[in-house]
Amino acid sequence: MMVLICGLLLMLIGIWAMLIKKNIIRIIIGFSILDTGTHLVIVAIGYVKHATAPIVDKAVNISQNAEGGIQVLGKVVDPVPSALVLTAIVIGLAVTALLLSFAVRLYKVGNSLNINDYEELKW
Amino acid sequence: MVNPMLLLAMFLITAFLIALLDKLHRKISIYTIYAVLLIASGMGFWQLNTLLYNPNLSVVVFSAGFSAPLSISLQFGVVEAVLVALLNLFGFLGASYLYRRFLQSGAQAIALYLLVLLGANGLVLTRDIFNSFVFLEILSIATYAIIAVDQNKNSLVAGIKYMLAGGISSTLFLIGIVLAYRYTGTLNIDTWLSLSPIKTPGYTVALFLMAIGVFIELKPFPANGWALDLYQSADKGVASLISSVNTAAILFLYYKLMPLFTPALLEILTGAGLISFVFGNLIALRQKNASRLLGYSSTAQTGLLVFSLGALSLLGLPQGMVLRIALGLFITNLFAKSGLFWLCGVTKRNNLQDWSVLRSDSGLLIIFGIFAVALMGFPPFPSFFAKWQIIQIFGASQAWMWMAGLLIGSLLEVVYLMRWLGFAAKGESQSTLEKPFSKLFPLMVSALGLASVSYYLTLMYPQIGTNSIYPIMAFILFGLIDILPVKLKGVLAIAALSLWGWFVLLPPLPLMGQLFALILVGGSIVQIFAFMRYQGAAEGFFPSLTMLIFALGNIVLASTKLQFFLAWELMTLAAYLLILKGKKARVAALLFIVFSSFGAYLMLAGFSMMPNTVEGYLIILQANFMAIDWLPALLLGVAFLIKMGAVGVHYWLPAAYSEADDETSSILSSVLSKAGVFGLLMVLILISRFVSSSSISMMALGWIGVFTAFFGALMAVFQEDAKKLLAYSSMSQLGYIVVGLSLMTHLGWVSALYLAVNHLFFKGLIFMAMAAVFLRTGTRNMYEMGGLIKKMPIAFISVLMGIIAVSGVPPLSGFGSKWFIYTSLLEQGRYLQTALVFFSSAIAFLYLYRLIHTVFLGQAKPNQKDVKEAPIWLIIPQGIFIMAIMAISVFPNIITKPLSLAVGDYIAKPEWLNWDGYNLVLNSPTLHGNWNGNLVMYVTMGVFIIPLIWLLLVNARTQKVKQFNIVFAAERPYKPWTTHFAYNMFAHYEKALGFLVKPRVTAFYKGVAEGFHSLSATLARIYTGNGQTYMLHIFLYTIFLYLLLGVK
Repeated sequence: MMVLICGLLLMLIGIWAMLIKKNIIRIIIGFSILDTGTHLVIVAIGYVKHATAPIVDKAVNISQNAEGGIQVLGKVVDPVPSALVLTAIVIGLAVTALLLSFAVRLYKVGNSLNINDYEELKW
Repeated sequence: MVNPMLLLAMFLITAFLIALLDKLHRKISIYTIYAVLLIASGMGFWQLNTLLYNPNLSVVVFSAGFSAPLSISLQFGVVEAVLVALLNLFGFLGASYLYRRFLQSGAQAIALYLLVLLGANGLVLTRDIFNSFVFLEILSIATYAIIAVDQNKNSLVAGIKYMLAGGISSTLFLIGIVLAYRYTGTLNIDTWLSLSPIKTPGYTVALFLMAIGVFIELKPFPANGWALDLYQSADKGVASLISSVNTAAILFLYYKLMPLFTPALLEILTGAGLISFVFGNLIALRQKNASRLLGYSSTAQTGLLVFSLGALSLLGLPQGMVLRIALGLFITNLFAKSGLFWLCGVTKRNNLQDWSVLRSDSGLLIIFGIFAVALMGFPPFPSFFAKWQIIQIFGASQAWMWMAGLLIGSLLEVVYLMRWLGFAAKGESQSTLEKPFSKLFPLMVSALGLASVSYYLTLMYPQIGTNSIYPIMAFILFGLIDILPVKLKGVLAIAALSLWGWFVLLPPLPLMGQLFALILVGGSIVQIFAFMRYQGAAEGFFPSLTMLIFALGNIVLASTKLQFFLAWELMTLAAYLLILKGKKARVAALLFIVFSSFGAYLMLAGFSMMPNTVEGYLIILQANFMAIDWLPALLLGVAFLIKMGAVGVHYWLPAAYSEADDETSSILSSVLSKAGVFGLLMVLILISRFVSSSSISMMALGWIGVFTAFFGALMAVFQEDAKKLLAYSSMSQLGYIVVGLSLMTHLGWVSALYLAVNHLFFKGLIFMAMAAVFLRTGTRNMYEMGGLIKKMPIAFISVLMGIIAVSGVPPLSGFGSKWFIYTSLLEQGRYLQTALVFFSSAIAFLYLYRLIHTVFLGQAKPNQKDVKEAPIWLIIPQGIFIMAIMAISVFPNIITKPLSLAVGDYIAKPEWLNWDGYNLVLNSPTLHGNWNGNLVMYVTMGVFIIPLIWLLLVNARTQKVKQFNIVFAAERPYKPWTTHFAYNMFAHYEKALGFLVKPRVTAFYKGVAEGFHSLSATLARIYTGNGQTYMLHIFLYTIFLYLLLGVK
């Protein structure tokens, strides 16, 4: 629950930064915070109370069934959201990196990082 | 079956290999991706082919050897195959457009381009929702990066805005996915679909988040500022890629998710799509920047697709049909929108007015025309059929709001696209274009592709029949031989049309149909001669002209609503193209097409409320035992009145008739307006069961006719321009026809049709004669002419005959038509209307007098002393028309009897109307009278000949006077033109009656246009250009839709 609340809080902070801060770098940082918050939320959604990691070892209560397969008796966390978060982190990284490189190039061309200075395209 | 995994693997491997290949030679890497894209497209076509012969083939492939929930599944069914084929084809065309850029920027750009296509293909194929997210991100990130290849400030800014917006939407999408996974326990879309619907609010929220995440990527109004900036600033090849490939793939993802949505959610998103369509087009209205206009149009079209998919699914249509309709819209947009973006890149002109560079390049102009016309949903393009289907379905399911939104948006689209086309076709052209083959090639392929797809679609479309294809065929064939000399083309056209008319058109028609076929097709064929007066090839006339005439015939020959509407739209399109040929016709043609489209959309709505027609059985026959409700009758009636130029909706008429080339004006006035008469007559037949002459509706229609006649005549009086005078005169005459039709009696209809035939003859005659005058004098202002009787005696005789016929003075046929109208009005007791009609006829004398007096009599102008008689080609139709007028004047029976028979099929001839030889006897309870055209002719001849003989006898005593003998006239030569008596000739009448013709209608329409434009400008203000504002839009939009959904 804590993780979920933290995640949502981070998302709100990220959104706040994206909407309020004028410096493009800060906006990108806001985006990054939003992204991290999202990841926390996803992990929190996949979490099952009092469960362990979905790794077959001593922490998980296992038994052999008739055919010789492994049967998990204890509670384990759903592994899929965690796996998804890994992918999402990679994608978030790529986007953030690309955003930053855009910002750098923009600064070279326009000599400003204030987003209000780039309003030529409109209406 | 093709394994779709191979497709994705091929893209990925090539993208990596490009870096190596590029080291060998730049061109190797470029040609490699061409090959890859073509192979991918070919795989799509091959799969489609396989599935056609083997429809039950399993089309799902699983990764890693596991089955569905455990692994990622890819589906390669019919829809996916179509999309893979088309997207990769357009990927290839886009890549060939970007050839030069690839040469410059090398491996990175090429690899990124492949990755965009990889993302798009993956998005189309995958059935796993998280996999969709991954492919969506591949697609997006590759697109972000490829934007930056063009490193100017604006595209970088737009790129950042796009990335932030994309980041937000993918965050929403991702949370939605994981939340949904929590409720379903799987990420496979098919498994989700097979689950029974989960009713918990949490799941609804999850669906909402997923939906909105995808939806924002589809650039809905108003959360689409970032997309517009992107379209405006990115390289045109990239913009085209985003608007076609990118959008299509995301749209298909949206379509895949659609079955999961709750009805409430789907309704909201569908409504949002419609709003996007209408407002996108509304804001595009005032755009002057071509790329940004395309951006608005692109978001609007995406909105339309979202809307159509959603609306048709909500109405419970089978998915196959929904997809087919959406495919029609999609294909048109794909070809046309990418094409237009590429064209933007070729012209390199941002300001719409500068597109006049295309004027010197007829090839590109034709391509541009194809795209623009296709985009606005005119036949024969697929979007026409799609819109037709959608409106029919909406009509049947009474979805009026949706229908209204769709039609309003489409009308706005017509306005800006046609304005743009007008600038391109008619502006001042100064420079030439640089046209590298790599950029021309995709343009040509997509224009040709679109045209041939449309051609075959029309050919194959059910319920259309072979006849409907003739106009299009004629357009193409005459377009191909357009370089031949005009005389040869004229002969060919006359021969083809006459043969078709005689052997195909006339035989199946009933008498009434034959009559209209003769007016519409026969009347046009006669006027083809006039077009043969041009020297050389005179390119551009004959394709449209022949299309127009075939379409006119098809209107009469139609047996289904669709055939009728198709022919009607082709006619409108052809007439538009002909009007656009006029030198200063840009605005006039725009007005024509906008009013016509407005009418067409009313007609479309009206048709959707009408009972279905039986294929193969002419509408003109079906009308007799079919009935329609008052609302469709009203919509259809207004649509036809617009074409006739009834008062209030006549705004387009004077402009179009006067600015078109003279031969075109003649056809417009004498023939095209009769198509409106035919339509109106059909409507009246359809409601004849429950409407009579004394119904309020028919009284109202009568008054519309009377006022059209009256104001038309009055406005004609005050014109300086002879063509405007004739235009208003035409409007006035059509008013009489409306009055006659509104009577709903046998006599009334006979009189209306008699006048219709007459009007064809005399207005064609006068227009042809005046065409000759304009040609020789080089002006249309009557006060700049004079004394032409000696130089152009044939024109004088034609005009004289014409105005005698118009004014209704014995002995010519006009007298008969006026007699008919008055009699039939009086017979029904409409005294007030009779009086005003009579008054209008009196006014007609004023303008007719002005026409003949100021042009042919009076002083010859010094600069016109070398004026010659008209070319023979203009005289031939005049001769034919004069003979026709003489024939029906002397022997009115040859026309009145068939008319009476034809009308008799619908309204029986009353007992009291009879022919006694040449004497038409009327013995109704309320009115007695008779008319013997034959006798009138002989009496008038007598009255005319006796003074003539006397005149000839005393003529010996006359003194011949030269022009400058001042005794000759009260007029002094060598005065400035404006003091000439012909200038402002009826100033005194204007003082008395001028207040009646204040341009109120003009003011009204100007106000409407102004209103729309300022609304458009105001709405555009929300796009402030600030990236943060755009993000705020997205958040607010999401919250707004969420509140609308109302999940607690």
